[in-house]
Amino acid sequence: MLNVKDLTIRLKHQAEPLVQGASFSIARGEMFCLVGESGSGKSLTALAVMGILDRGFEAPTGEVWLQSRSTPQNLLALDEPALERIRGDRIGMIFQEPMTSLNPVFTVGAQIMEVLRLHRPELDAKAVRARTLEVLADVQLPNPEQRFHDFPHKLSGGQRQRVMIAMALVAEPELLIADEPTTALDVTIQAEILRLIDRLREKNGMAVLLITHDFGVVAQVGDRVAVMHRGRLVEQGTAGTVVHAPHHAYTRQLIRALPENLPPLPPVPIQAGVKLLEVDRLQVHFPVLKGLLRRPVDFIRAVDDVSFDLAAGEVLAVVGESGCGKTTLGRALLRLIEPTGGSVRYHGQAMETLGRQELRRLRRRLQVVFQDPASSLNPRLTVQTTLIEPMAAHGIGIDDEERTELARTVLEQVAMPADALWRYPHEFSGGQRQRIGIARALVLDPDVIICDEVTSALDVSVQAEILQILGRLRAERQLALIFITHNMGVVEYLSDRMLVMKAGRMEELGRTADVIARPQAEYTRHLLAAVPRVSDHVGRHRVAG
Amino acid sequence: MTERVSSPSFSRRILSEVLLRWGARLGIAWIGVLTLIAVFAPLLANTHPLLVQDAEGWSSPMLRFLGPADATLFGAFGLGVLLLLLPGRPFWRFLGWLAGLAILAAVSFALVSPPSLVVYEQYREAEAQGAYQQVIRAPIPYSAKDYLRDYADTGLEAPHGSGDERRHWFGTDENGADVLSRMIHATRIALSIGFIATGIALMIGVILGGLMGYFSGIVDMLGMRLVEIFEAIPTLFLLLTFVAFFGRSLYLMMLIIGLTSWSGYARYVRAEFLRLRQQDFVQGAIASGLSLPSILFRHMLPNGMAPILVAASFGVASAILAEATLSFLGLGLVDDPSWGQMLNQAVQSSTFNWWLAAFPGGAIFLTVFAYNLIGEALRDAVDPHAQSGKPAVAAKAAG
Repeated sequence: MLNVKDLTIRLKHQAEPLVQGASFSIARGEMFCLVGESGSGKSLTALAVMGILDRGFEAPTGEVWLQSRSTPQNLLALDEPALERIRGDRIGMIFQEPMTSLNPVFTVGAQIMEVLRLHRPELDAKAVRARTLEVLADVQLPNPEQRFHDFPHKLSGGQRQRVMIAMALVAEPELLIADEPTTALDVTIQAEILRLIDRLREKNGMAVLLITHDFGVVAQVGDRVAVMHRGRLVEQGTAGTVVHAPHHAYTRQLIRALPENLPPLPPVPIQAGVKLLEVDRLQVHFPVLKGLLRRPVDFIRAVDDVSFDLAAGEVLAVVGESGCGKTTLGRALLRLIEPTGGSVRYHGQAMETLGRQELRRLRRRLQVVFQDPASSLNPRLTVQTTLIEPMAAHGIGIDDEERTELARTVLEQVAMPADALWRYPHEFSGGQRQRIGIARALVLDPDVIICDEVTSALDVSVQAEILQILGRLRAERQLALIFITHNMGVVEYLSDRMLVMKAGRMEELGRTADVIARPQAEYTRHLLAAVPRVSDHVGRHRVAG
Repeated sequence: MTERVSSPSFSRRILSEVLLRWGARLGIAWIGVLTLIAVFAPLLANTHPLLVQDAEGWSSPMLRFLGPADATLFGAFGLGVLLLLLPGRPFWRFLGWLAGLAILAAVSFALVSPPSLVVYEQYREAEAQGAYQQVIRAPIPYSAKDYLRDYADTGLEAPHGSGDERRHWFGTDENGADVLSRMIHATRIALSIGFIATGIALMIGVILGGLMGYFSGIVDMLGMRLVEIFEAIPTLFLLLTFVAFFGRSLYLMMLIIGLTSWSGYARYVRAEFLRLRQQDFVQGAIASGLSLPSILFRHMLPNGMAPILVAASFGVASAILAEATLSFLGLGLVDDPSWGQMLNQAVQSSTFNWWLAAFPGGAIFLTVFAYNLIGEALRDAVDPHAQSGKPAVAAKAAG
């Protein structure tokens, strides 16, 4: 149905192509997955098929044949008006970020109807409306009549993505291109959206080109897979073969880097007797202020009565979906946000009673690594300055010479070269910056590091490196980690115990293996069931059955 | 210590990004030329000859009549060039320059005292009588306040060049003074009012805005009310009132323009600090137990400075315009030359004197335009979405 031959894309004035000689074909009704790490050119390929590449690119070379109701057409040879008729009509597209891909000033219904009027001018107003409502029902939006008149801001992320799908499908295209459609969504919603796309594919008999970086997703819904690496397609085949018996070295490396396939970490003895942190009924309530006098009328309970303790050398995973309060919990432990109730004891000493100076001294023992490697380092300072400044503030080392020497050893421990000291953050990749972020936490020789989604912005192979570094450091330094994440694979790989949170409250706390095997809370069961795993691949049979 | 592998710092990258743009290069070149003209105005346009040889030998009336301000400017320029050639961090060199400037100003105002009586005609008369064996004159042999009293019947004259006894490239004003000379000397006022007024505004704006942004809460609320109060004050009318009460003074003008235009900078800095506070690296700095001054001035201010510089370069332009407006309305300085005051003369007499409109007007236009070009280039360089081509596309290509 779609036949791409020798597609090559390059930037203007650059010899090195970003996508080189990509050839693949998608059959009618097939779920075709394009997998690769960031920067591999998978999104570019989709944009080229749609003919919506940025102006900074040269016109792509090769052939893109679309064969459908009529004779086959080479999309690359078509002019803009002809392409406009095909886009939205025969090829629909959905993007990664549901929060920004709907126009906030028009109602959901108006935006869908606009697409329909453009591509089905023969329909009258009544038919357009009926078809729009039908497609809203198709994507399983509850109460489509009412949603029709809603503005996008009233919808949640998952609902918006459903509207996007409805918009892409309203003209009944034969091909749907989905560019990372679930990456920005929570895992339970991801599962629903994937099921929805798959069901609609079956119902309408359309082909789907699903772009993703997640092998779990591929294993769950994919029929056939192509793996992209640095602009080249390195492997193609059915999902089962590629995932379970990959023959290209790169694919094997990717699959091996999945947390569930990483070699297990050596067991680390936990000094269960030494209670590092005792958290008792910790609360963070943000007041909702209203009126002239700014009186609190209500509270947002971001963290509500969370209690746990942490032994020296232990890894505790805090798991939950976005907005469950796990990041707020981390920041409240560090007193970056003031808790409104409960207590945090460090070695038996209550932190909330500490004065400012005492708190500053204690900060040495509790460190943090953040999620976004782009913003976690000061862009104006060299790595050396970033690393030695906290040491100087805590009186570690006699002079800058000695501190620099210490910084170099720590950089070595996170597998960074020593000359990184004299460079600025923008010269490093995301994974390297994350390692520097870990180094910044380590130079103070802390007992606890709070890792706030440290791997979620990273590719899977980089994630594997970071996880291994963290595992090794933990063993070497008797480091306790509070690992905040939404990624179940990472939790299983690294943590001793896990704490499941939902809407600010604890749902479950227990040994990781026990919770995974026998979840007690209903919510934990729901969460675990939604995680796409490579190991439970059954492809389309599972969905059909 | 291992070998330092040098890599461009953030400010260096911004600078090279700015210099990529033609508009910015033109703007910087024009401001540079103006600065040179302003510093060396006495050498360029002066009735006092630079050097004369008479019966007593060589002498330099020009040097004898240099004022303390001229001496300070010469010294500051020399010091600036010297410090540019010396190694060291730009910030410290800049501080050193400021300190040198203060010392120079104190010394020259204490020591330099030119004769208070100036008779411009004496040189021309002496030359006519053949008292000088050799004279080296400035390129424009007229001072800004040389009203050519020795020539009868001077006044408004259109530009005329060779063939005449006197040569006025840009004509003369109604007092008979050379327009080009006055424009050259007015450069000082135009540049200094822009820099000093904006400097005052920046200082107040950055401090107040920074406090508002970092502490937020009640500090922020009070600060924003103060900003709103100052935004309600119309600068021009305040200036008019002050001139009416306290007479005309350049320094008062700078102060008032500075005191009334800081609110915009305060808003910018506040917004930047509110944003930066949430950034992970600032949170990380707090979590590392760094002190408040370090967090504010090392981690937050340098990262929030870029948009403020953009605003400041537009601010300089508007301060120059404010002074020109005031002078045009006849409320500027009395005798000292200023571009706006010359524009005023263009429409004073019954005829329209085009040379008094075109040349000073052109200078104001070019200078304001140059600052705007620099501001535009800075804004583009700072804005990550408008990077010159490649990075933005590469970012889009990822994923």
